Amino acid sequence: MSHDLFFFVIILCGVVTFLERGSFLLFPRGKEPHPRLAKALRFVPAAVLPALVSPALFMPEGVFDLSFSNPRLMAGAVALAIALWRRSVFLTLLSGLISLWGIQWVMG
Amino acid sequence: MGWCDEERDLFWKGVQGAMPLLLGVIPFAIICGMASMDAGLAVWQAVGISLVIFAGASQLAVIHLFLLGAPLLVMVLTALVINLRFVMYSASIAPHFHGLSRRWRPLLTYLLTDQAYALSLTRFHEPEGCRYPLAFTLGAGGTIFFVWQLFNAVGILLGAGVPESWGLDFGVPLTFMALLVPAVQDRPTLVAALVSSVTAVVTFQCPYGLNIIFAALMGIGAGLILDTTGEGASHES
Repeated sequence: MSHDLFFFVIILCGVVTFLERGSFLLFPRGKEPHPRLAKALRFVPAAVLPALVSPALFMPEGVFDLSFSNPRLMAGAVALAIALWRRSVFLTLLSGLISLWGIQWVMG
Repeated sequence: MGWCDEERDLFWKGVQGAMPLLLGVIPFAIICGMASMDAGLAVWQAVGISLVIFAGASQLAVIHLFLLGAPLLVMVLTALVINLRFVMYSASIAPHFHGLSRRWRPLLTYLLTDQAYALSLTRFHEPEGCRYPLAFTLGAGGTIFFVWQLFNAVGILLGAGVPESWGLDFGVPLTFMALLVPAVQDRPTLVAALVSSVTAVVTFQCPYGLNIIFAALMGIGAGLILDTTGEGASHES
């Protein structure tokens, strides 16, 4: 895909995102969401984010690697502990990156 | 703008409320800017992504899919699924803007981020209430907007200069991990997260990063099966 076509995709994504944000806000007198939809939407963050995290930890080279020699899995475990403890984006990032650098340095 | 003192005061309360959250917004914005440059985009395109979409998680996912060579439809569907949470925010915040004129609604819609939503709803539910929700949300949302765009630009400037061996791309999953932790609130959301993790890895070989969509749908399905909250109330139709 060319960069120009990609930018067209970006605009489409922008329109979709705007409509999602405005689904109940853009027009006054909007309806309440259907209860079943509301129930399903509650799970979106918990169901979407792990899909973006787990392949980056368990298969950083594209193949499943559940071992101590997988630096990203080890660094991710440290960052998860920090995230659970402190709930801070900043500290999670910092601890994960520092662990990754440390592990890579130790492993040469 | 013809705002009264109380409205101006609430606007600044929104700005102040956003301050502690900037510690999370700033690194996320820098990583987004860097990732856009890593994908080989022109500077105006990298700035454009962040202005047009203005939702970091979906921006990063779409850039990732672009590098994988995914087709147009998969990219748009992935952004749609990741940003479905905004439908939830929109529905839950809309009653507070009942009676607001049409001309403010597009701006309010554009500024509805995770942070602006969380700040606003917390404020609206305080005992003293919030007489001018628009002023507060514009203060909070506007602050997030300006800081996000500013540090996205910083990331764009850094982007070309950081060596790959630093592994800064690892900042992307780390950011998502930090956002995930508060989203896991009870057993059904925990199971949704676990099912999604496993599905994303097992279906990794699917072409074009479709595994993200599969994993999200499986996670939502698992959560719904286990969900028993409001059981009595939802036996309607």
